[in-house]
Amino acid sequence: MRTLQTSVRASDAIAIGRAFVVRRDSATVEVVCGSEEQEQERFNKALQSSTSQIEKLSEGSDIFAAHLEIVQDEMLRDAVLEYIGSGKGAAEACQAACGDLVAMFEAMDDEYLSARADDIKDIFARIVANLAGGVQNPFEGAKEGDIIVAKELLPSDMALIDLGAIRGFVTALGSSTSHVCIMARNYSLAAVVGLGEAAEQICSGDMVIVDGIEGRVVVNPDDDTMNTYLVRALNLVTLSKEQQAVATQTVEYQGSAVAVVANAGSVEDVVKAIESGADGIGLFRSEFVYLNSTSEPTEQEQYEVYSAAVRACNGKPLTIRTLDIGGDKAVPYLGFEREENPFLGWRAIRVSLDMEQMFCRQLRAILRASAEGDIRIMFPMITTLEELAEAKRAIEKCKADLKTEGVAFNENIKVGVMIETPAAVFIADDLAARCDFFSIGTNDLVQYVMAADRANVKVSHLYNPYSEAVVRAIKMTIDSAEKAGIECSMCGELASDSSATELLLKAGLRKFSVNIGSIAKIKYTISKL
Amino acid sequence: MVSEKVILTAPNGMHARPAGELVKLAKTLDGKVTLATAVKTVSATSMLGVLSLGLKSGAEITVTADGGNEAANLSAVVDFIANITE
Repeated sequence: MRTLQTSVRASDAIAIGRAFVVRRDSATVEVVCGSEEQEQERFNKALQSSTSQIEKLSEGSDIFAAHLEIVQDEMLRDAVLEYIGSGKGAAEACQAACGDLVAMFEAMDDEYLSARADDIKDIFARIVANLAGGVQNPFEGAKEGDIIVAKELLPSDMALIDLGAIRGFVTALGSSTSHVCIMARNYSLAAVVGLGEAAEQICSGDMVIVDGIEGRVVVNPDDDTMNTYLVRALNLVTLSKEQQAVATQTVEYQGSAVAVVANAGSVEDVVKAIESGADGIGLFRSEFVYLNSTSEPTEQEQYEVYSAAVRACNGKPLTIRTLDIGGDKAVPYLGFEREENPFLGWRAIRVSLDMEQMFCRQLRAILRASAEGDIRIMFPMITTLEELAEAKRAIEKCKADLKTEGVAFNENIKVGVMIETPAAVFIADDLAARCDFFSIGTNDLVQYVMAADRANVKVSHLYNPYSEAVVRAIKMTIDSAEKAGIECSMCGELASDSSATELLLKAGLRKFSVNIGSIAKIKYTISKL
Repeated sequence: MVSEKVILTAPNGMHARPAGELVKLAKTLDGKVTLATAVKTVSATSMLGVLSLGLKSGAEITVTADGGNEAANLSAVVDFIANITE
């Protein structure tokens, strides 16, 4: 028995299985050296095949979409062609150019950028494989229940591995932000990364325990260790299975139904949330439609997104929050100016009400999509009754226009407000009389109530959702909603915190809008009370 | 050919998202635009190039537009860089 230890916490899972060791030698690269023109030609062909392979993989994958951007980058191409020009063969030129680019990115003291080195290696590995006549699958032969052991696992490797069959990963390189860890967490697989040379001591067929929680790998464990880990693994699996089992059910508390809906930032999120058992979408952040664009998205573009999202909901409700951005985000076409105090500045509904035409384009897009499912409109950062009245007038105007144009929409579309400022809490009873629902945005509410920025370590202890002032603000909001007979949900991070669930239920909350990864956990927590 | 110096004031420097937007913008222009620091010069249409400058908040960048509507291209890129706030 040997125990290998790292300090990296890679995933919250434990796996026990046989090692499937992947050995890849970069020495297998054939060095064919034709004339400069021949080598250029070979490289161009391999680059073309690589680009079209990545293009196919890039649909629905952020990783490969980023790869596509890089493989088409003129700098990559020029770097290789320069080496070919200096007399190197295509494969050798790729390796040299890859080395240069990787060194450049690895040297950057920015975690995100140094992680791009992985993408570059990955892309060059593909180009070189294409030069040698095709891309091989090194994971062929891995059996169900195996643990994949490799020096390094790149994003494209993950696309070749059957993640539903294998149990975990062990790698010599990598950190907790590596792609392999992100995938391990998404698929609830065990992973230990950054083991260094110790990983090379593992042989195919060895029995290994991968403890992602402690960052430990036990190779060929003795019986005692094996038994301890079997019990631990079983406990984890039982808990997660029990949680998964209630995820798709409806839950209740003291006889009344509790809705667990999800927060989503894209149409893909909506699909994933509904698959994960969400009773709908309680917060659809429409910002991404604007942030992913260099000019304002058209009404039609927005309509297509909302329409796809509501269809993905399968009849469950979709609450769309209108544009919620301010001077802290760069949206060139919105003309934000630098503000001393962006969180107290021109943001969210304040921007929408000032940019009437843009606001109407968004409202029209939402209204049009409302003909296709249960869509609700929610306004962010409301602080006065006038703002709500003005925003509702804008909806009425859009409805009238659509009617004149003969376009279908839901005439009784529900309109609600985010309660995320102390001002909104104080006038919650008046707001409740004028809208159809509330959603408490605890992230901003805590920051505004406590006047504390959680990113500022000197005051972050004040940023506490359990502070008496915050708890009272939440209670006041729920009570106002209840008195007026309207629905009240919570979409901040507090809603996803299972240690707060009981407190919130006792305060009267019956709708939780949570992170997709917390749906099962929160439903399970409620079902156990 | 026209050039202008601009200071990157974005608190997080030139990270992936603004760099991606800058490259997108540069690709829509009708002439060549380059970014230069004291160390090197890269094309504004290359994501790898822009990222490889490793621009931190406060960096001074010389933007050069060559060909097409040079003045407009130059001011588009300079304005974009000056207004990155995230």
